[in-house]
Amino acid sequence: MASKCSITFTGLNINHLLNTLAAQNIAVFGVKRNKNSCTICVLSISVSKTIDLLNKKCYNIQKVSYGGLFGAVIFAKKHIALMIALSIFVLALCFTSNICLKVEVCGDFSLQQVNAVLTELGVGVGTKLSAINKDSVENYLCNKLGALYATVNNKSSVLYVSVYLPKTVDTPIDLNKKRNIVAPSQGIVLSVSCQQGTPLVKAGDSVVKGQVLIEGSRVFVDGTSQHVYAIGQVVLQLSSTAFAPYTGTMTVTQPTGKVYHNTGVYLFGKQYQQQPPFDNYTVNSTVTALKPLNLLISHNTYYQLATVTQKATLEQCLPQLKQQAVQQATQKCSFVVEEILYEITNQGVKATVLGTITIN
Amino acid sequence: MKAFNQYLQDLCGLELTTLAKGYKYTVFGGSTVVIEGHKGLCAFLPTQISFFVGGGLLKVEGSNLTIKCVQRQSAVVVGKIDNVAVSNG
Repeated sequence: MASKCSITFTGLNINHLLNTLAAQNIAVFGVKRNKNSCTICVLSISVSKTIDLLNKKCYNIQKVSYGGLFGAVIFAKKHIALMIALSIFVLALCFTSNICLKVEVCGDFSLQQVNAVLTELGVGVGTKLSAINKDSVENYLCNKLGALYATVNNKSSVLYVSVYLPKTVDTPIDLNKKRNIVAPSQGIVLSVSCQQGTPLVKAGDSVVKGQVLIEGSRVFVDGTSQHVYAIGQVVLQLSSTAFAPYTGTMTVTQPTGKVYHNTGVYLFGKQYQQQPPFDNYTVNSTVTALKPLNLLISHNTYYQLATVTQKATLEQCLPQLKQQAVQQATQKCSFVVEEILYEITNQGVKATVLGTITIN
Repeated sequence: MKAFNQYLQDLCGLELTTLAKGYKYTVFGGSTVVIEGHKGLCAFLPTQISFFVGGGLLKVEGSNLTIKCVQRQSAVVVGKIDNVAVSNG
């Protein structure tokens, strides 16, 4: 069925016009009249002839609507750039759907490991998907990486590669083989729980590094013994001690009286300001935010500090001595500090740090 | 076997030329009128559409009348048809 076009026009003597159109073998359909305005439909093959006639008769054409395939052709002619872009897009889509644009890796191996192996095979971004032999790639990945299995699939332009390691099982424990539980470092036994074996220490005992805590043997009533795998739990308290001597003086940091002012700007996370001429200082800043510019203005006052050594009593030096002693004791220990004990004498401060470890 | 036109001629008592040069109108269901052999549109109103026919005027009266199609010698009028009359002018 031929497509029709709708023409809306205004003018007088519409009846005469319709007769003229009919006399010229132009079939007119769907005539709708509204006072001086009239809308007619003509076949697309007669549109140009009808428009020429209307223009010749000085009718005012208000609207021409093309329908069907003819309308699509007119639209394409008017928007030729859009049609060209659409064609290029469709061609690009058809072409790139066969090109690998991304490689997604999952499993027990890293992206770098898998990509390195894929590169050896010439598989990666930009490769033609139809040229990839998936079975060969899977076999190569398994052999090269020592994997249990590998799968290679593609969905549109993305290549999905999954590679998995073989599962390992823990080595079974031979419970008939002798094993002792020994102390890893010096400490005091806090508690002993023994399920299998013979405990050699009790709570409160001091032990040294390497001392057997639970022996891997079972002693029977008749005096015989059997090797067993010692199973139990021993909690040891560990300690570390350090001494900070009192020298009669202490070092303090105090302001010198010199002050420096400046103004700084924070813009998008970066600070722009002049540095103060002091090495040691303390600063007092007032910040003003300027929204919506994301700008921070800071007014800074710098007070110079100097380190001086001055005579001081033990009470005055106590905080500093305690901190010094704890720091030294902590440096020597390899456990988590749970408690700190201080012993203060006229010679100085002794700090003991305590912690516990559980040995299975 | 006679031709259809010859049959009509005998039946209606009309000459063939009269039959050939005449007009015909058919009303379908009170909503469509098909007119053949008209000589042009005379009036076009929502309540009346008139066509020149041989020796007269064919009026279609009703409401919401529109011309569905008009060609050289045929036309189709649709709407609520109340009356179709031919007046010899």
